[in-house]
Formats: sequence, structure tokens, C-alpha cells
Amino acid sequence: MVAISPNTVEQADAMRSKHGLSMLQLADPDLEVIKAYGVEHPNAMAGDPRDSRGMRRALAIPTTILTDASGTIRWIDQSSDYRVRSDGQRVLKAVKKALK
Amino acid sequence: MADQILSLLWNPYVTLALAMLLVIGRMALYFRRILVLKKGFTRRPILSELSVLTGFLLAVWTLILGPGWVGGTLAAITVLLGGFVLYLFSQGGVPKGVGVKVGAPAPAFAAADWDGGTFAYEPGQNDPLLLKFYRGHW
Repeated sequence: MVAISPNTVEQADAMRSKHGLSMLQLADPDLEVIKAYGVEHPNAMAGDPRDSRGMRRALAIPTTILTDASGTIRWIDQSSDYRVRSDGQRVLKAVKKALK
Repeated sequence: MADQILSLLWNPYVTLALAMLLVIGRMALYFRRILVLKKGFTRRPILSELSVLTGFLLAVWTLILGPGWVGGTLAAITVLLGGFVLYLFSQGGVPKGVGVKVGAPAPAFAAADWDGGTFAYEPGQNDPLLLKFYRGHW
């Protein structure tokens, strides 16, 4: 499992220690991967006044993508509201179904 | 009974108390969940949205009723706060759109991890991958 965001490496590290996350976190500050997967939200409300990149900037649309061992995309889950996150149970069910 | 309840809606102190409870009380619960419990939502928080909207409208109604100087100030604060929160809520929507499709090969990519290393993904070369795009730090 890999998490990816427009955070810088430093921000990703800070978030990892703050929330005690063990998963692999990737930094995509230039949104290269986010654009490659077409999940860019061009004018999002970032809501962090400490970030010098501004309150409104491009971010990722919260999206979960599952690929199998051959590299084929098997499942895509996307929220229509950034406050609403992928439900852990639903993700687990989809993973089990897709990789059976 | 119904008449009595209805008449309460013409009492600015009752409507002010109700408005503040709905806006401030509900916001406290909402941000407690996000910031203190760190739980987030897996469904749209429709109850919070309706509570704040109702409180906001009640605060506007209180101002129309004319609650006096102190009540008017409190009602105005509730209107501003409720309005601001409703604006934030209205910003929650994100455009739908994924540039990739189920059944298609996942694009290859490489990105820096928090450790200074690089994670490279090449379709067919890796284990199954659960890739989570998220907005960033909170």
C-alpha cells in the first residue's frame, strides 16, 4: 500500500511521525504522478495557511486505485467530497474480490 | 401545544439560544471528530450541514425579530460564523475524474519517499498495489 500526495518530502515525513503511519508515503509536489493518473483537482482549497504555495492550489482528488500483479487497474474508488474518505471495510472487500 | 411551540419562534432569546446551539454546538462536535478523534468521515456529514444551515437561518430570523444590543451582537456572530462554515462546507465537493480506467495498465511512475529514497512503479514488475492519492497534510 502506497500513499501519495502533493506534500513535499518534509511534509510527508512530518505527517508520518505525527500520525504514526507505517505505510510508504510518496511526495509528489509537482503533481507528476497525480497528473499521470488524471486525479488532479486544479483549484482546490488547501486550507493550510502555513503552506507557502497558497490556500488555493492544485491538489489530488482523494482516490484509491488498486492494481494487480500484472499492473492492470482492478478497482478505482473516488470521493465526490474531499471530507469523505474511503471506507476501510469497502477497500478491504474490493481488494479481496479483485485479487481472489 | 403546537401553538405554544410555534410562539417560541417569535421569542428572539429562544431562537438565539437555538441558533447558537445548532451552529456552535454542532461545529464543536464536527471539529472534535476531525481534529481530536482524527476520525474523518466515510459519508457526507449531512446532519452537520443541516444543523448549521438551520442555526444560520434561525440567527438571521433572530436579527429580524430584534433581540436588543447584546442579543443582536450574539446573533450577528452566529450568522457570520454559520455563514463561514456553510461556505467551507460548500467547498467540499471535488470534480469527479480519473484519467485511468479499470482494466487498463497502470501508468509507470517514480516518486520520492519520506526517507530520501525513490519508489518506482513499473506495471508487471511489482506486487499488487493499493495506491492512495490524498490531498496532503492536516
